[in-house]
Amino acid sequence: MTKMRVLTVDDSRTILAMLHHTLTNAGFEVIQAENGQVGLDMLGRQEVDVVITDINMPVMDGIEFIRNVRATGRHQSLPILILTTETSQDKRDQGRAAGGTGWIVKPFDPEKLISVINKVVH
Amino acid sequence: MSDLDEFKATYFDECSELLLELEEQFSAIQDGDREAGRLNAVFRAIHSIKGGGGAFGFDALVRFAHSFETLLDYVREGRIELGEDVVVLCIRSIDIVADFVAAARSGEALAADYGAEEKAQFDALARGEVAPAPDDTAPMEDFDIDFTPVAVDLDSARPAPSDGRALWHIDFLPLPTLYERANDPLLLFRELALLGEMQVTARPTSIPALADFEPFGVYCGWALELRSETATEAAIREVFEFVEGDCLIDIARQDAAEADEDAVPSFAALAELAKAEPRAPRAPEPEAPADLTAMLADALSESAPAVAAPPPPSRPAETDESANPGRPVGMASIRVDLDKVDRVVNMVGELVITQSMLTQQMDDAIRDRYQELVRGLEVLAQTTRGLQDAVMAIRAQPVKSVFSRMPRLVRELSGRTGKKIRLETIGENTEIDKTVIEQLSDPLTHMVRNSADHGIEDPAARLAMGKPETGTIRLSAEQAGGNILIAVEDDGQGIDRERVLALARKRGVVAPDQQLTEEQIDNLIFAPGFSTASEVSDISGRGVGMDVVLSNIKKIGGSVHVRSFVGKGTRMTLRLPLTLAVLDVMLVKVAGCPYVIPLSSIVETIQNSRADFGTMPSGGKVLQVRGEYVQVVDLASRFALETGEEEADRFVVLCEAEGNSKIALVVDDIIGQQQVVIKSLEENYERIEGIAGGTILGDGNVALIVDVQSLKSTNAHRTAA
Repeated sequence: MTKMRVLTVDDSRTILAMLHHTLTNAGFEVIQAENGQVGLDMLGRQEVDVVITDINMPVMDGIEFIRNVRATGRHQSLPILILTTETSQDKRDQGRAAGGTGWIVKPFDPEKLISVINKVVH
Repeated sequence: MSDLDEFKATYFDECSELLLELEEQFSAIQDGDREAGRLNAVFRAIHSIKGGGGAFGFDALVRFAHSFETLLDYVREGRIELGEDVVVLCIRSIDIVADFVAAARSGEALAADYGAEEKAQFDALARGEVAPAPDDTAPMEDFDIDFTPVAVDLDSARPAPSDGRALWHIDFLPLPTLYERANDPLLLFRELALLGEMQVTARPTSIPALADFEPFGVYCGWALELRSETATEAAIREVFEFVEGDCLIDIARQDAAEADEDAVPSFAALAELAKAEPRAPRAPEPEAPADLTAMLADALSESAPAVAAPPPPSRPAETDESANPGRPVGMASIRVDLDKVDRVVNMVGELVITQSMLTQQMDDAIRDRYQELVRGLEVLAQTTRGLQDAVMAIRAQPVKSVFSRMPRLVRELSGRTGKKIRLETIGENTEIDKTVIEQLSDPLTHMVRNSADHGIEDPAARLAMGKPETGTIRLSAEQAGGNILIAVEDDGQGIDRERVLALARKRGVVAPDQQLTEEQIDNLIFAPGFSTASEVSDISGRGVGMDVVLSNIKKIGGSVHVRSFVGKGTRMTLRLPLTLAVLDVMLVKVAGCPYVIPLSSIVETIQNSRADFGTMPSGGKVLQVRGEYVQVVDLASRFALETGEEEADRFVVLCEAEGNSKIALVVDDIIGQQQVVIKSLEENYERIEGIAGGTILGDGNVALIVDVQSLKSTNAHRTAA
């Protein structure tokens, strides 16, 4: 069976590294982007099973990124998880309004991270 | 290194970059640039520092960063005005964040109330216009489930079911937005089934003709029956957490005793569906609508493209950051271990040597006979040089990483001395080899301290001289040929030459009758033994003087020069090599063997027959150059070699060691200048006194690199002994 591929989009290398570690240990293939624009470019080139994205990023933030992904015909059913430290509801709501599938709050627990991903992918 | 350590290392690296960014942005903001992009950038930086800190449990850091972030958020939203006082508070707080990060890194504990004053100011500012900030400084929960119960669980009051398992009736009707966000009922059901035994009944609504199918249209709802011992309404709602608001859902609990009775769906919509379509008690699990609709969409797109055609992707909006030159849009980079780069650098070094070896082997006979080979080798030479440049560029880093530490230093110096000082930086994107950068921080810190301490005058003194109250220290970097020039300039009082000369004479740095030019006097500040602890102030302190700057810079093959104008200021210039991997050397011969002497330490070369040698009373040989006596070291006898050369035919290479002290090396012959790739002796053999390393010459021979500094010091030691 081929591995599930996860695109992680975050401007924090720390978070990217931690996601990478947790996800590869859980058997996922991980590709990384440091902002929404790079993430969008990657989606244009590679097939991805699920996206995990930060909200606050330079160049293109997470909200704009999700909006752009959803605007691409073939990514309308791609699960996108919003990764954010925002404890306030409004960023998450903005993310969902843009088309985000679910969310994960940093700092994340590895097991929960995997269970949330399993919640949104086949 | 454990994973956690590795993540921490990444985090601290990242923090350094973010702190640098904060410095830069705030320094621009302080200069009056209130562009919104800057506020977003500083907010993001603090946010990232906080986020990572939370992951490692750096609670004190997180608490402080949280208050800082809240303030920045309010400023960003315009709720708090970004006045001068707020900017000053923020800049001071960057230093505090830096201290928290440093403490987290070293594992030291800061005072419990460290930064408390600033934090209180943040909180007070934040309170100024809004309700008291909620104390959400408690550690964040792993998952932030904002679940709000909407239904009152009346059924829970009923007696427990006979088999201990409650029966839950869940009516679920997705809304189109559920599909638009890529949620999938099938996955929700799968999740729900983990809680217990489940039955799913599909309740299709009026299914349209194929041509009228919308990809995200809702044509089906579901009735779910879940038997579970453990399920609670909260657990069930958690399954539907991501689709809250994107579906109509009703959850009702029924005792086992009543389980056989039909539950009445509470939604009118579903009730109507039930009427239209009789319920099959054990319907198979339905096909996932998202997949089905996607399939249909595919099928339809050919016959009726209008239905499935997605809206054209909108162009990403121009964000404020796109104007930021430091971060071009779509910039791609990878992080590579420095060891790997060094390995490439080394191999390229070997390649360069092999290439020049091949070229040297070429004689005229070969040139005539194998013209193709010659052409090929010329191309190889060019490509190799290009490769070498490209590889060196990988290791190059902007001097920014060192310059960025200076604003804080200047702020601290300014605070402690009561002097008003402004720091200007120019050319901070100039790139130098990483190894050089690493050695640059200490000398530069010392030079800036020196300028603030001895250069810039008190505000009153400046005003009295008709100068602006605030002094300026300008830090600049530029590339000049194969060198990088880094200058520290101030508009202070300049060097007091009379005092410097008097001190130098008193301390024996300069002979009483020795005549010096103004420039020579200025450069005495770098002489060893010139500055002493008693003269060093609180700031330039630590008991070391500017001679440390010189020795550090010499170590990396650079030089220091100072030029001062009385009453107008001082300019100190560092000249540094672009890289440490390649060394400019003079190739000499001693007893038939090639040796190389770093060009940066050579002052001049003199033919033995013209040199003015003398003998010390102790028997040591000296060379007299322009009134100065310099110790002579014969490399042949120093390395216990037999030279067949006539004394008169040999050469003296006058070299400069640390602190302007000189040494004259006698060699058999001078061959020429060239660049060599340094090979470590320690790594390949062991350390040898007087030899700094080895290199491979174009003809394949190994040549040793003469360590001028160690020859000087061991010789001094011998003389003393």
